[in-house]
Amino acid sequence: MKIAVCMKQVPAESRGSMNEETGVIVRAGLQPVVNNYDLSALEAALRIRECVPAEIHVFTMGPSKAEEVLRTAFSMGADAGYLISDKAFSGADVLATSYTLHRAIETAGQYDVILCGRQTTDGDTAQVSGALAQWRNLPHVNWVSAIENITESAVTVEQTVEREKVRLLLPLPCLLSVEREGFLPRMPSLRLKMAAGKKKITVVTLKDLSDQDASHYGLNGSATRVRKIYPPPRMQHKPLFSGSPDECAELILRETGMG
Amino acid sequence: MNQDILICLEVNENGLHPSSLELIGKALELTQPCGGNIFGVAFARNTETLSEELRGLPLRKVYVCPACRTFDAQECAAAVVECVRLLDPSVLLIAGTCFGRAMAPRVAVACRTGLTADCTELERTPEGGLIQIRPAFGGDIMARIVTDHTRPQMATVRPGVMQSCARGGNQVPELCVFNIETSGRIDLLDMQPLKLKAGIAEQKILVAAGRGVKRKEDLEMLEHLAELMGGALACSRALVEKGLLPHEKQIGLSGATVSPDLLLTCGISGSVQFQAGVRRAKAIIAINSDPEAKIFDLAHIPILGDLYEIVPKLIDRLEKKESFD
Repeated sequence: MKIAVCMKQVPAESRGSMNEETGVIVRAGLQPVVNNYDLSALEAALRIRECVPAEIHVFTMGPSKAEEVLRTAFSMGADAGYLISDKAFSGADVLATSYTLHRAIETAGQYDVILCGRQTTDGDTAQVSGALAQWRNLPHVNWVSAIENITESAVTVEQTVEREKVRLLLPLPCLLSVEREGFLPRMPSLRLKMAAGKKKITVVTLKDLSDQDASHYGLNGSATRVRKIYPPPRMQHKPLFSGSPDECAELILRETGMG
Repeated sequence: MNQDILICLEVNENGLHPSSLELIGKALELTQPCGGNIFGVAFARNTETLSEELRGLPLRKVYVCPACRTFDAQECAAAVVECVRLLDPSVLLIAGTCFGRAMAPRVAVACRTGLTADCTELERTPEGGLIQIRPAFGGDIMARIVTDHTRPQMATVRPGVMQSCARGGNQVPELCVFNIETSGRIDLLDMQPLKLKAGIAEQKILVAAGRGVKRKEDLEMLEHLAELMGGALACSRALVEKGLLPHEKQIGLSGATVSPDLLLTCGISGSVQFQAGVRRAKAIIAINSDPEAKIFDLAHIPILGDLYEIVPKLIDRLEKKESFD
C-alpha cells in the first residue's frame, strides 16, 4: 500500500502583526514549525503501516527551508519526502495550492490513501484537503476521528461532526482528513532522527509537472486576490478598572451577584 | 449580467438549519447594490416539510436533490455544480458547518473558481463583485478578498456570524426536484447521536482561558474557578493549537459560537477570530494585563490586571462563601 501525507510549514504562532503605516506583515521572530495538525496526519499513516505493509511518502509545498518538515517526518518514520518548491508556486490560494499538490503527487505515482490534517494554523481554512480530493476525483471524508479497519480495497473510518458520530466505508483510493484528538502524534525516535539528515529528498519544481503552464500555479493560478489588509477596527471601550487583586475579585463577585 | 445568488440550504430532522436562515439574511443584503434573485439548493428527502420550512423566505426557487446523501461530499458537490451550470449565479454561499466545509472546496475546484472560508463580513459592489472579509494571520489582521475573473464567487460563513432572515408573507418558494447520476462511493455503516455533554455552546457561565495562561497546570486553577462559579472552562485558539485543551473547548470563528449569560475571559487578547464567537454573550468580564488588549473593546467590565493574582483571590472568596453556606 502507498500512502501520501500532506504537511505544511507554518509560523510557530498563528500570530502576525502589521505595520499600520506601511501595511507590511511583520513576521520577524516567528520560528517556522510543522503545522501541528499535520503531525496527526503522519501519525495516522504510521498507524496504518503498523497494520498493513505500507510505504509513507510525505509532500510539503514551500520555500527550500520547508525541507525541515520532511526531516521531522523522517524522524517519525516516513519513508520518502517530496519538497514542492518553485517560485512559480508562491502566492497560491486554495484553488492553486490544491492543483499544485495534485500535479506534484501525480509525479510520484499512484497512492491508495492520501492523508491531510484538519487545517493549517496559519491559513485556518480547512479547505485544501477537499479541493485536492476533487482534482484527483477521489472520495474524501473530513473530521476523521478514528481509522477502524483498512484492507487493500477499502477503509472504515469514524467521523465526528456537530451532533453525531458516523462510521463510513470508503473504497481505496481515497483521501482522509484527520482530527488531532484521535491521532496524537508520537515523539520522533532518536535512531530515526540520526538517519533523517542523510535521507534523500526529492525536489519537485514546475518543470517536473505534467502541466508546465505557469499561469495555472501560484498567484497567477489563484482565483482570489487579497485586495487589502487592514487592522481590525477598534471600538471605544469602557474605562479600565485597575484596582488591587482583592478589589478586582470583589468587583467581579459584586457584578455577577456571587459575592 | 446575472447577479443571482445561490445558497446551499441545510435541512435535517429539526428542519432548516439556523445557518441557512443567516445566509438568506445576508444574501438579501447582498442583492441591494446590484439586484439579482436568490436561489437555493437543498438536500432533503421530504419536499413537503421542506416547503413549509421555506414559507415566507425570499427565495426565487429552490432546487431539491432527494437522492444525495449528505455524508458523501463528492455526491453533494456534483449536485451543487449542476445547479451552478443551470443558474450561472454570480455568488454561491455555503454555511461553514462540517457538511458545508467538506463540500465547498470540491464545488470550487469543479467550477475552477475561488473560495474564501469563514468570512466574518460580506459586501457587494454595484457591479456585483463580492467583497469577502475574514481575519488573516491568526486574527490580528483583516483581509478584503475578491474573486475578479471567475464565477461563482464562493464564500463559506460560520453559523452564528450573520443575522437571520426574518420571514415575511405567506408565500412558499417554488420547489424543483431534480436528480443527478450519483456516483456515490461512500457507504454509511451506522450513525450515533453524540451524547452532547453540555458543550460550551450551551453553558450559561463560561470561564475562558487564553494565551496569558502559561502552563497546563494553571488550567486546573481556572477549571476550579469555573466549577465554583457554576460554569465550565473554555479557551481561545492559542491553547488548542498548543495542545493544552481539546478543540471542543475552543471559542471563536474556527471553534464554537457561545452565548452565555456571563463570560469571564482570563488572559485572552480578543482577536477578531475570538470575537466572532462571543458576540452573543450577555455580559463579558475581561481580565488582561495588556491595556491595549482588543478584548477590552467588547468587555462590559474590563479589568486591567494579572490573572495569576486575581484568580486565586476569586477562588479564595468563593471557597469561603461555599463553606459558609
